[in-house]
Amino acid sequence: MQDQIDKILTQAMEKIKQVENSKLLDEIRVQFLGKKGELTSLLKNLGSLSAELRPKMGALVNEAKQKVEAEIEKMKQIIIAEEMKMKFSTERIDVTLPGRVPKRGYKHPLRIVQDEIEEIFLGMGFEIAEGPEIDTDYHNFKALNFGDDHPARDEQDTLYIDDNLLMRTHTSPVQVRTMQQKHPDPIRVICPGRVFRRDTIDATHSPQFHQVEGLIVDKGVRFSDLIGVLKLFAQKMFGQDREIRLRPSFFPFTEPSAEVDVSCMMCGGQGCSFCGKTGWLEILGSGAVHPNVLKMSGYDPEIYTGYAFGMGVERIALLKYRINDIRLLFENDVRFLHQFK
Amino acid sequence: MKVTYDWLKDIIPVEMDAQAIAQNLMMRGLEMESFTETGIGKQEVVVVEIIAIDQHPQADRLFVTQVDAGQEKLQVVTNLKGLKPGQKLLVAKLGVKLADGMELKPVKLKGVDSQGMYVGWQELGFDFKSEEPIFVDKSVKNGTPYYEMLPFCDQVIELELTANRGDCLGMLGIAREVNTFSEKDISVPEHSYATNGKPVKDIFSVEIQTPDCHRYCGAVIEHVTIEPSPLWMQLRLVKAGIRPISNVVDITNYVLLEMNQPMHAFDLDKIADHKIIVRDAKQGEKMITLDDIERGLVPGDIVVADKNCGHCLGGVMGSELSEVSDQTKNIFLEAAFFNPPNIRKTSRRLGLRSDSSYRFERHTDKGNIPLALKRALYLFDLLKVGTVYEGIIDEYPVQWQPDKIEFTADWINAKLGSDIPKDTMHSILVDLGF
Repeated sequence: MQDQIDKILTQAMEKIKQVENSKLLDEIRVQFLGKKGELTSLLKNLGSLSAELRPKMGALVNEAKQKVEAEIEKMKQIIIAEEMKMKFSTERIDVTLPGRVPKRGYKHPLRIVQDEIEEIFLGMGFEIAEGPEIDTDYHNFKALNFGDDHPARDEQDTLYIDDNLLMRTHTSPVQVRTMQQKHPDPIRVICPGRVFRRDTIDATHSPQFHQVEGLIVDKGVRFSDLIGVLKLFAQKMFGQDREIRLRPSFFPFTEPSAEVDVSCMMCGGQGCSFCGKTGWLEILGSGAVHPNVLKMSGYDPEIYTGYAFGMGVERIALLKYRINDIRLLFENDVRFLHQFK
Repeated sequence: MKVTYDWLKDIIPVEMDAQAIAQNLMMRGLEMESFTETGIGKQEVVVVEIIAIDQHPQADRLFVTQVDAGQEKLQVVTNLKGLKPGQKLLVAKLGVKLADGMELKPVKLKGVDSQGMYVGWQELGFDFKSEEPIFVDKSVKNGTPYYEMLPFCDQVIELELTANRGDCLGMLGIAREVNTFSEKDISVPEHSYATNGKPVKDIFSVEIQTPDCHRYCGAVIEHVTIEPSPLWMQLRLVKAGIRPISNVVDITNYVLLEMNQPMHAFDLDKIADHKIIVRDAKQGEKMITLDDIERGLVPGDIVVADKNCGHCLGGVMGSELSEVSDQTKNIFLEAAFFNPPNIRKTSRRLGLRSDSSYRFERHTDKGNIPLALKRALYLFDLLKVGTVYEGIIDEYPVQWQPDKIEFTADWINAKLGSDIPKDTMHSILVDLGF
C-alpha cells in the first residue's frame, strides 16, 4: 500500500511540474484528487485493509493528498502569474501614438472661387446683393432691354415655368431689383447666384451654373472706371502680371458692350495650348448700362451712368484650376474634391 | 458669315494677309469662328481638253479618255458619263495628294493605264458634296494649274457675328469695317448694264397691301437661257458655303453675299397678269415651298402673290409654282424689305430658315435696294443670261428716315474717360460711311 501511495505521489508531482496552463492543471487535479481520482480511490480501498493499518494508511493517503494539493496550488499561482504577464504584454497600449483625426469637410472649388471673387470686390467697396432664382419675365428680360423678339427669349434657351415666371438665365434681375429699391442712391454691388439655361451638358456647358454680376451706378462714372475695376479684379484673381483687353460685343442691356479677356496665365500671353494659341482667355462680359435699363428702374440716364459686368464662376474655376471638364464640378467625385483641401 | 479673302481684296485692295485682317476685325467686335485655307496647295491639278473618248474594253462602266494637258497628252480612265470631246476639265496628275489624303499613284484600271483623275469640288477640299467634276471655260489654256486659273487656294475667315451686326452679313459691310484699318479705298461694285430699251413698267406692276413690306423693287429679264454660272462665280459661292445651282439662282445668291440684299427670281410667265401683290397671309392659307413641303400660313406671314395664289413666303422661301426651271423663258427679279419681327415669327413657327430670312431678321438696308438690284442686273447682262428691261419698279411706302445724332467729342471723352482727339473720331466715322 505504501508503495502504491509513493508511486502515485511521484507521478503526480512529475505531472504537475510539467504542466503549462491552468486547464491542464485542473485535469491533473481531477485525475489525482477528483471523485474518481487515483488518491481518492485509494481511500475507498481502505476498507479492504485491517483495522490496525486503516488509520495509518488513511493518514498517509491524506498526507499525499495534501502534498499534491499544495503543489497544484503552488503551480496554479505560477501559471496565473505567467498568464497575467502574457496578457500585459499583448494588451499593451502605445500611448505615444497620435490621436485619430475625425474626417472634416472643406470647401467645394466653386465655393472657393466665389468666395475669392466676393472678397476681391468687397475689398473695392462693393456690397453683395442676392435675389430669387425664379423670377419674372419682366425682371429677367424686359427691364434689361430685351426686345420681344430677342433670340434669348426663345424657349430653346430659357426654362419657362409659365408665361410670366421663369428660371433666371443670369443674375441681372438682382441688379434690376437693387436699382428699384435703391434709386436714386448710388450703387456698387455684386450679385452672385445660380442661373439656369436650356443647354445640353457637355465639357463646357451645363443647364445650371453660377454667375457673379456687378453693377455700379452713380453720377459721372466713366468707362475707364469700369476698366480699372476689371483690371484689378483680373490681377487679384489670376496674378499680378495679368493684362486685360476689351473687344466690342453686344448685350441688350449695355451699350457699348465689351468682352473682356485676361492674358493667359500659362504662357504670359505668348500663345499656348491652354489659350488656343491666342495668348488670351475670355473671362467677362461688360458694358455701360443701357439708358433704357436705367430709366426703367428709376434712374434718369441724363444724370446717372452705370457700368455692369458679369462672369461665370465655373468658367473662372476651370481656368484658375486648369480643370478641363465642367462636369467634374457637379459630379462630386470625392477623388476630385479631395484635391481642393 | 464667311469672308473670302480674294473677294474682299476685289472690293478693297488690302495688302495685309488674311490673318491680320481677322485679327483687326476681332478687335472691332467681329469674332472669328474659324480660319480655313482652301484648295490643296500648289499641286499639279491642271486644265485639260478632251480629245477622244472610248469605251473601256474590259468594263462597261469605264471610259478611256485622251486629253491635251498643254505640254503633254495624258490618258485618263474615268467612270464619268456624258463627257464630250472639246470639253475642258480639271485633272489631278500622278503624285497629287487629294483633300482626303489619297495620293494618285500609277494604276491600271481594269488593265488600262490611267495617268490622272478628273476632280470635283470635294477632291479639292471644299465642303461641298457633288458627283460632278469641275468644267472649265474653253478660253482657258490647256495645262494651266488650277491655282493660277482661279483663286482656288485662298483663305476664308468665318465670323461669328453678334445680333446687332446684321450690317456685316455682306462683303461690302465687311469692307466698310476693313476700311477703318486700311489705307485703301472701297470700290463700289459695277452696276450699269445694257437694256432692251423697253420700260419695265409696261410689262410688270407691283402692289403692296401689307404694312409689313416697306419696300418692293423689281426688274424683268427676257429670253433667258438657264445654264451653269461661270466657274469664278461658282468658286466664290462654294467658298462662302453656298451651293451653285444655275446662273439665275447663283446671281441672286452672289448679290446676297456681296450686298447683303436677299433677292428672289420668279418665272415671269407663271405670274397672273404680270402683277405681284404683296399681302398678309389669310388664316388657313396653304403654300408648297421649294422644299416640297406644304405649309399652313397665318396672318403675320407675308405672302408675295398674284391675284390667284401665293408665289412666295415673303423673305423666307419661294414656292414651287413660280420656281425658275430649265423651261423658264422670262424672269421677274424681286428685291425687297420685309419687317424683321414678321420674318422672325414666320421663320420660327415653321422652323424654316434660309440665308434670306436670316438677313431679313437682322434688318437689311432698305435704302440700298435699288443699287443691289442694279448690281444683279449688271451680272445678268455680263453673264448673258438674257436681256434686261429698262428701269426698275420701286414701291416704297415706308421710307427710311435718316436719324440725326448730335454729340460733342467732349461728351464722348467724358463718358469713356478717354481723350480721343476730335479729328480721330471724325475720320473713323467717315471710314464707316457716315
